[in-house]
Amino acid sequence: MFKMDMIKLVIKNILRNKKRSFLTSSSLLVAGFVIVALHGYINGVFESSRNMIIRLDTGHVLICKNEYFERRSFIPVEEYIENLEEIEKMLTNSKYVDFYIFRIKLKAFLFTKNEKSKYGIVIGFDPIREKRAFNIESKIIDGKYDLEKGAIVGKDLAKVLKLSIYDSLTIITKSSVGGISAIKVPVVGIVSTGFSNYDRNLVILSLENARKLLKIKNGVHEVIVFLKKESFIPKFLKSIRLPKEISAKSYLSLLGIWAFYYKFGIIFYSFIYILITLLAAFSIINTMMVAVFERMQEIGTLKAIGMNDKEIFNIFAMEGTLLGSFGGLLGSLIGFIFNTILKIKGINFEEVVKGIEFPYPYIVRPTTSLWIVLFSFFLVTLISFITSILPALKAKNLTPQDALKHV
Amino acid sequence: MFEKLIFYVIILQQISPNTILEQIRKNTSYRTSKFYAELEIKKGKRNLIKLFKGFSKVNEFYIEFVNPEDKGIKYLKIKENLYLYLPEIDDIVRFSGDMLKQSFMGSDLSYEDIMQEDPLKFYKPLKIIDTLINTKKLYSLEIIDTTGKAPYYCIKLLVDKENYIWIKEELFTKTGRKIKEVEAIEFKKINDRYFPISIIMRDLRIKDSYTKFTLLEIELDVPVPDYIFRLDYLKK
Repeated sequence: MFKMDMIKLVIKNILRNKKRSFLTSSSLLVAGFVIVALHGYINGVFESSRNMIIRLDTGHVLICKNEYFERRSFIPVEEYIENLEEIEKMLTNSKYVDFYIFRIKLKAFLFTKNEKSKYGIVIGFDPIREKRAFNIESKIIDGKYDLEKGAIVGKDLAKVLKLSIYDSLTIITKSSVGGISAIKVPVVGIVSTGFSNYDRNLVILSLENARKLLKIKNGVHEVIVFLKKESFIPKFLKSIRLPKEISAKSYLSLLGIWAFYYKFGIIFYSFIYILITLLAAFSIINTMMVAVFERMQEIGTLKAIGMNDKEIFNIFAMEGTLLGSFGGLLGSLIGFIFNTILKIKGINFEEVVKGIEFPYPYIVRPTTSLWIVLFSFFLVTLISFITSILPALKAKNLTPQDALKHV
Repeated sequence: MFEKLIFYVIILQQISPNTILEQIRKNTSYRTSKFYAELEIKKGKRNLIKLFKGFSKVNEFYIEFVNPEDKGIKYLKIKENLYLYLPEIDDIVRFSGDMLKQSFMGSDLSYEDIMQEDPLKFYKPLKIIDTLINTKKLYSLEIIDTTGKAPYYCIKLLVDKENYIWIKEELFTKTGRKIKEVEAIEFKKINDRYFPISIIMRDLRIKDSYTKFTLLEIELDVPVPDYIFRLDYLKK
């Protein structure tokens, strides 16, 4: 039998019972949709978090003192880089570097006039350089981006401490010489970074005020480097020469538990996609087995007039595969469109993720990619084919006599 | 028969764990004090020395730092409240809640540790064992917090049998994790009691770190002016 004739026959058979074919196909449609939509959502969360970590935390490459890296999670205030001249020169001359910024980081007690207090994280930075990294100014929801005049506070922190613009904030921390140090500054701005763990804990000061708090003249804890391309990271790390007490690390090596979640997520959700598709594809087994039993006489007739076992197998296998792949393709495309709309609108999870320490964005924008549409289509097609094998084998193994007995 | 009698006499003479605990508390309790102390803080390669003077009475204390880096910083405890005066900003702040678990001036002591005027009052003894370390006869006493108010759930004490002074403490969380060790390295006889005047505390959660607290001068149960334990005195 010619291939075209076979395909025409397969399509004719599928359309014989439109309702049943539609129902079978729709379960794979749902599978295709879920794979694309879920992947877009998960990827959106990870991409936002990754972007946030790069922009607000590590850059592509982080340069610190070795002891600072060792105890980074404890924010050791005494481990700051004093002499920045050499490092600045090297970064300015590097062909891989787009720009770099300096940051001071502190853990501090925060006190207000109305006796509210909390533990927070203080970041000191250069307001002009910082605009290229993370445009805090665009995220100010109250007040001004005027770090020379005071502090900017995360919105959830401001809520807990009952702070408004121009309220006084007392910041107390351990100084670099091991004692206690304090400053009192007015709140000039309130910011919503879009990430709950920053909005709950963050106070931003100018580098000058942060150095005053730390009791140092110059120096910073972190030199955060942004490269022209992320792929330059290994080349950049190879090219730089730093004093032995200072080192540079790629952000990937600093991700810690986030990296674990990301890798675990990829594996876990891959299994989920396969599972969803398998469950949906059981409908194909069901439909095709019913089709085989219903069409026993037809199978017998086809075999009697000369169709061989391989062709019988191919017909039924193709029917099941086409049912599934059609539904899967449609579902994947709907998922793509769905993600595109949500990417523009964004999904607001603020109320849900407020208490989470993980850098989970308030607004999730699913990613869209044709690659996942193709992957989903391929997966659904493959699994539809696999689940069609059993009924196809059943049809293939029928003898003409057995098949024709079923009247 | 005779051996049984000896055995029961010995049992009757065994001192109870509660009595040991009471004796330890008696040794370290006082109505008032006047002191001048040194805090040596070692963290990795860094070694900091802080000096402070102060007074205490019942559940209140006043501390004023005199070393150049911290000069003028004052703490005042009034009942359960801890106040800090900072000369840099000429202001007083009140520490409360979780802040009290933070490190005192960067040392291995927490604010909670220094707030306890009678740290053993929350505890009940669990078990006692006779032990011998370097030919010294000691009690090994395990006590647990039955009130839920103590900063450490369980403490294991090594206690000198002769003088009822604690030589060493191991501090545990409820999960059984040992988080701090305290060793009393020097004692002074003050008014018929042996008072620890130098202790070393190690926070085992921090690598290569210890804090040595030494009372360079100490007077117990002496008159102490009341006006010192007032908030307005902090700004003077």
